[in-house]
Amino acid sequence: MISKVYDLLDRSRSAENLETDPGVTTDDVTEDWELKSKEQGSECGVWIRQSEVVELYPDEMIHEELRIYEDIVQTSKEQEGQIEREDAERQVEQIKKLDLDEIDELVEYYSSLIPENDLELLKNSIKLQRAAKDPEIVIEKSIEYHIGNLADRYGSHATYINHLVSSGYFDNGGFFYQLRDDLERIEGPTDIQYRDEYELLIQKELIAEYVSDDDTVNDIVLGVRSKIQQYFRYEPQTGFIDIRGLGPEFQEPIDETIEKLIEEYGELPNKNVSSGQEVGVRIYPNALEFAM
Amino acid sequence: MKLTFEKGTAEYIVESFGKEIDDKGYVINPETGERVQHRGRDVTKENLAIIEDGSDIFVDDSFDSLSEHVERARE
Repeated sequence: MISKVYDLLDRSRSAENLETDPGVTTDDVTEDWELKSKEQGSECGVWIRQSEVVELYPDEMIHEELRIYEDIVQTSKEQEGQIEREDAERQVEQIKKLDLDEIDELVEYYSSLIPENDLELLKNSIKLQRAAKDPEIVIEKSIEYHIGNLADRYGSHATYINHLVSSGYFDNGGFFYQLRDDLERIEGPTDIQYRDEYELLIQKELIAEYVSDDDTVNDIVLGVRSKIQQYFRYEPQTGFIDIRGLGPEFQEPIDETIEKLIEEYGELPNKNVSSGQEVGVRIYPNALEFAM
Repeated sequence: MKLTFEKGTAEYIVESFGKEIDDKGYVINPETGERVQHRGRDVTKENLAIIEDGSDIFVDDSFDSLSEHVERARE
């Protein structure tokens, strides 16, 4: 590898297409140095930096230099196992901070319970949401961008799954985790029953109504009313519907929603299920059976 | 020697592996004109993040793709 780099340096120097920082020469470059393929910043094809980096500017290279550049790119990939874009390399280092063994163990719990496509989606969603909540981890680009990518790959329910993961429904001890034991107590051990219940809850979004920035109180009331109707139509095992907002700014509209629903139904048992930055109120539709 | 690249040089990087970027920014196989994909997602000069050794896997820059890249490296 180093011989190819020396070859490039020799050619660039003889073509006067080489720059060096003060205090360094081509003789200082060793196998331990890094190579960076850069777009702008030099009028020469190669720049030797004091920071033990050889910068490569393919836009400025002449034909023979470019041929060696391509050779160097190929060889680096073979030697290192990969070549990375600079910001992707940073993101990969951040992802490595996650407790991947713990995530594997959690996802394994669901391996026989939910469809394969959703299992993969769940794993990627847990990683994304854990990274988003960890102050030690920096995510390149917005979380909405990454959720959008998950939706492109796995389907539009990726957004709902991400919200549910963020709220802890899939955590050890969370609703979906407990659901297996709950179903087994009622109907004996059966993965098929679990899958049916899971698909119902996800497809119909029966567990929680998530409030977004542009929702008015009337919008939220309409959404919850629709969920209550669906609850009585499909009779899921949940026994509750949560109203949630991913930020403290949603507390007021959710409180107003509860007030309006109480006016409408006469009574509505509820309890606060807020956690961290997320606000939430749990309502119990079974108490409304005679009001419907 | 480890090599990293800036997004603006993605065209030269893919050409090093016999691929090209078409006029819409997609990475293509020049012999067939087919777009290069990573797990069903088109790879472009904007989202090309990693090229893995072996079968020349072109990885896009979505969080899930980079996470799976980390998983492969763990195995």
